[in-house]
Amino acid sequence: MTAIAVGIHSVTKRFDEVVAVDDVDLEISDGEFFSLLGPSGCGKTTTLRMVAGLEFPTEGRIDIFGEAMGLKPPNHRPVNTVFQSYALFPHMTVAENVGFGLAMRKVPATEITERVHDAIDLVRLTGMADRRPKQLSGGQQQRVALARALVNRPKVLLLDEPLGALDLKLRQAMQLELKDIQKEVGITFVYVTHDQEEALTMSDRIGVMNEGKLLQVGRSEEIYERPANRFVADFIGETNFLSGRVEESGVVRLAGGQLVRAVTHDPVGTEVTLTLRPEKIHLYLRAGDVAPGMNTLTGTVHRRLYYGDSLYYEIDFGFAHVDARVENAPRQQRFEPGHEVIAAFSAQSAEALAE
Amino acid sequence: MTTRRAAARSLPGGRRPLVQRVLALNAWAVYAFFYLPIFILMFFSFNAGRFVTIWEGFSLDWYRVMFANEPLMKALRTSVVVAIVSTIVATVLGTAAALALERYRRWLGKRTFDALLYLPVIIPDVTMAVMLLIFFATVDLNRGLNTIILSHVAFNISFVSIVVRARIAQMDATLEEAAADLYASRWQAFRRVTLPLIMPGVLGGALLAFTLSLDDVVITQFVQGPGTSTLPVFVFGLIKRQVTPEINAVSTLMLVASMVLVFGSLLLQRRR
Repeated sequence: MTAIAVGIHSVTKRFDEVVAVDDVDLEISDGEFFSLLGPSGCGKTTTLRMVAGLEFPTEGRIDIFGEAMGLKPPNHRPVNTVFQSYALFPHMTVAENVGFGLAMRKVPATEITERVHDAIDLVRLTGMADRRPKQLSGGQQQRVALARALVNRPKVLLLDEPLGALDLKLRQAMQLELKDIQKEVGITFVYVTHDQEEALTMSDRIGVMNEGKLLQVGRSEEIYERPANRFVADFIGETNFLSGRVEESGVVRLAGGQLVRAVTHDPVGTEVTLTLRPEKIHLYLRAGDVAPGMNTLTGTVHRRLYYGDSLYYEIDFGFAHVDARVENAPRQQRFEPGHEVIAAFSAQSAEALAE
Repeated sequence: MTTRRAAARSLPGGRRPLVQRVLALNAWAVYAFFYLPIFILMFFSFNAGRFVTIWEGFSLDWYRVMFANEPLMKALRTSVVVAIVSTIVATVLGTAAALALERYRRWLGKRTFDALLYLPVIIPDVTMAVMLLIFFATVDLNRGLNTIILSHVAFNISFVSIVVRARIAQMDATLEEAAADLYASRWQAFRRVTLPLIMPGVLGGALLAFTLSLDDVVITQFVQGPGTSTLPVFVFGLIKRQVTPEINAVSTLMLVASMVLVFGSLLLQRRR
């Protein structure tokens, strides 16, 4: 049983009439890499800021390692933040920026020098200690922000879209590096992002938020394979939606009348939406090629899109259109628009979500 | 775009479009209008004769006369004291007002305060002077050095806070949050992060306040007491009696002092 690093209990935050965070309950374990994921304005940053002490909950309670934070200001909380804009002090050198927190806590000068040096090494900025933030690239500034927070050995590190301002290649490199650093220092990371890929690759667990509500919490695979509702299914990755009704447990009758086996959670008769990922759909020309036990639907190829590493086929089932993704592998069968195809998918890959 | 503009600048034969030449001429005319009187004034301060329009040879006599003029030197000292004290007080209060308006989300009467703060900049000096005079009479304050300083503080706060506010608005408020996140108390965050970053604005505002205080005639004339003239008011009094190159010498001195301060202020504000 690991300790709870951050406990968010029935927290609501209102700005005037706007509900930014709506009754959120969440426990983040010690040492966990936890991501809060959602579109802009979903309340994820406000949640993070409440943990940091930069905002205070209108209702509810936030605990850090069991200690109620109440109205404690940020300088009395055992957390540090990496801000989206980095918020480096422009009038200080890299070393002065990194050493700021230690200086404020009256750590002896010799220890500050040593720890600042180590932190600068950790983020691979050796030799840049005397530069000003302006003389650094975006990626380097981001590392300074990280070092400036980590050097204080916070119990929890809060990161607010730290890679948002970087270009794609740098962002991907920093994702791996952040994950490595987190393993190395072993502290809890709470990471806010709107980039679902970033969340899926880096996190131990993800909390998906929308309109102030925490919709689902789980590991990457759970969030992707077993979305709790339509928003989560739609926001994370790409998906197809097929409407239908629960015929019996594990069986759904689609709007076109076909019966398919799916993962159901609702009683018989419930109107549901099947979510079906494009890469889970396999296409065949002949029914005999389909593996036994798979759901099959017959349709026509409406359109074919070439993506390089894959091809997308838009299949028309009459009652719905569905996208199927096929790897651009050697000897992979190609399907021509206008041709009739059989779309096959397993019961496990179709999740029935209540409306 | 760039090439087309470059082409317009260097037409064949070095000819420039008419508009451009007219505008350049206008600029020179404006400069002449501004600076010729100043040059004439400075020129005649070195006149050997006792007229301000007839040149009789170079001398520093009038500067000697000026420095020997005890009442004038007393007025100069009063001016410097008033300027220094009112600048310090106005800078501290003006900066505090600017911070309150820029950094704090809401407080009772903020909008009203915001609108009223700039009043001294907008209303005529005479109005301000009469207003202050009536106020001092009402609270039964003896007119003298105190009332001059109080009045200068009153109008300087506005100018300081305008300049400082512009600087604060440029500053990223997240920096203060970052300081708090890094264990700085409110005071430490202000002292170590906010103040160093807005310092160019604070110094710029202070220099502006200093200049305005040195130059003020109207308000000071109303609120001064017997024997506590500032330099500009004293000079104004001199002119009424007789005009000698001594006036030019005093004016040159004030002009040079003001220009140094204004340029200093501009340089500080431009620095990022």
